[in-house]
Amino acid sequence: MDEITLLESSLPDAPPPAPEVVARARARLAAHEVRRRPRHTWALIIGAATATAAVVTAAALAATLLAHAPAPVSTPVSASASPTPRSGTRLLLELADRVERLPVETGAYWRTRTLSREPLPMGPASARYLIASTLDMREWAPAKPGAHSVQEIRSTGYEPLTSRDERIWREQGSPKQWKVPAGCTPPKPSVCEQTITGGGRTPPGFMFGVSAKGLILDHSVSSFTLADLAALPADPALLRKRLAGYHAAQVKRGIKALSKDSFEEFLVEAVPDMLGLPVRPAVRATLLRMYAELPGGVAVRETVDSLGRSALAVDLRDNELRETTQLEFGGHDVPVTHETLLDSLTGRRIGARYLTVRVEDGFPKGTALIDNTVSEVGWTDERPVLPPGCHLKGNGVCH
Amino acid sequence: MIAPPDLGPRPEIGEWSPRDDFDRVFNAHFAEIHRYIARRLDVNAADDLAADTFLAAFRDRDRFDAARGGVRPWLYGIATNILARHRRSEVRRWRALSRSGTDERVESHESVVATKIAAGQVTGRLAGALAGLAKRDRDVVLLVALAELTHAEVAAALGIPYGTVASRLNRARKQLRRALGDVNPLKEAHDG
Repeated sequence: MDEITLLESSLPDAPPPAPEVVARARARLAAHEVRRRPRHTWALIIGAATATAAVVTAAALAATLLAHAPAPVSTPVSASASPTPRSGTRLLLELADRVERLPVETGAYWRTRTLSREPLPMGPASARYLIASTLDMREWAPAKPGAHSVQEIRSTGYEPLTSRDERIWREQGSPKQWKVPAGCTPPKPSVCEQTITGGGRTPPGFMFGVSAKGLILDHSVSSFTLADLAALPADPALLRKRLAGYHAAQVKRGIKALSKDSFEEFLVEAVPDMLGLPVRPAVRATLLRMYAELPGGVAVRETVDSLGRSALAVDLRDNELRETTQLEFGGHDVPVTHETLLDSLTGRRIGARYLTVRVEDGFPKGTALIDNTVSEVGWTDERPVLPPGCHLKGNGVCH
Repeated sequence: MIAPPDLGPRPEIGEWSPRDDFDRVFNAHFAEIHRYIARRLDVNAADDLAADTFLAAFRDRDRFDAARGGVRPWLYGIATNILARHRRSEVRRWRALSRSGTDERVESHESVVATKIAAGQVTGRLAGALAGLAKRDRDVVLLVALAELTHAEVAAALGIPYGTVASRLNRARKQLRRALGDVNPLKEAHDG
């Protein structure tokens, strides 16, 4: 026995992570992926929904329970904007003024529903069409600390994205299977594509959690409780100071590197993230003004989202802090721009999407390669619907 | 020690990478990274810091370079960097352990009192020595002892030359041996 072996055998061992710890870590990754770059979302999210038996109950519900997710109205995005859209950062400032006057809302649950799509190009070069599957994630965070939070994840099967895509698909004989790129995995690292079948749906997965402190599910900026968020100051200087504290905490934890521009870079992501959280209208108004004043400026324009809702699209196209992003499309990487969508009435974040910046693979500039749409966001007194026969126990396990 | 999970083929013959399937990386390595952090700090800290490690890895997955080492060294390197922010807590833990010889936060199921005393003596002295090591030497010796990384993997994890790993490890081992002093389990183990 040498010192190294002795060290290993003598130092106290640690128990394996509790299932809820694993589930929480997965949920953080999943939430991050859905918000940022859901390029490989599927395995991660479905894994999150089904892997941890003690916390996660994957309930094989009848297919009829899966309501169709709202369909996108059209692509590309630029074609769906209103005829005379306005633009400019003053739109953000006007929105802030309106939002500031909104009443403070409350409810039993903070509820969000996010629909994520990553269209894939199919068909011969002369007649390409898009197919997509929709990941439908609903989250319920209780106002009452100690009550159960619920995350429900469903996925529709692949189908043509729009009526135009469906027409071309029919002209090609309505194929039911497609080959799509996939990660190369052992034992056959050379196999880098998989066959997907249209129309198949995965059973919904449920994840339950209990937080005695009332922690919310989104940890992208900080580990907030609802009480923390309710107490956030609307004063610009004080709010900026709080955000600096969250940034410092991320630096301390090694999540963010410390650099000259790192706080401003943190704000670029944190401000829209905060606009998706249950903060008071006055705080949202301050965040919107902060967004308008980001160094380098932001491009703001009126638009409609994939559900036809009036929105402001905010992107950092000309901002020096914006990083160039490429996404895989049709087997090769293409440059894209990212934009956040804000509700024109409430100022809440209602979506984010990555759009092509030029014609790609026969699809026009402005085609959304990733479309995350927050179809529902706000307080509700409704209760989450649990899987049939599920009775939640105090430890967050469904019996 | 529990063997690390099977990683599949090595990088040079086509190891799957975080770019392709991060879910698989998480499944294969979360528990061992959590255990590594928990043994250096404590379980509660590990709950958060292991999640932080994977979040940081996920954000940086496009920068993963299989040519510089496998997935395990990459993850242990990130975890060790994150642990660096908690250096004082870690030293406090080793000092506390050096006084008590047992970790009060970990339930012990050992029943033989004599064994506990002897083991506690060794543990206490080793913990005291760990508290006294330079952080860079402690990182190396614990990556070898707790994570079972090879010298080359430690070099990849910490981004230091192979020779530096050997010299730091040699220095750390000498200090550990010195700390054991009259309690000489090395000799007993060889004899017994």
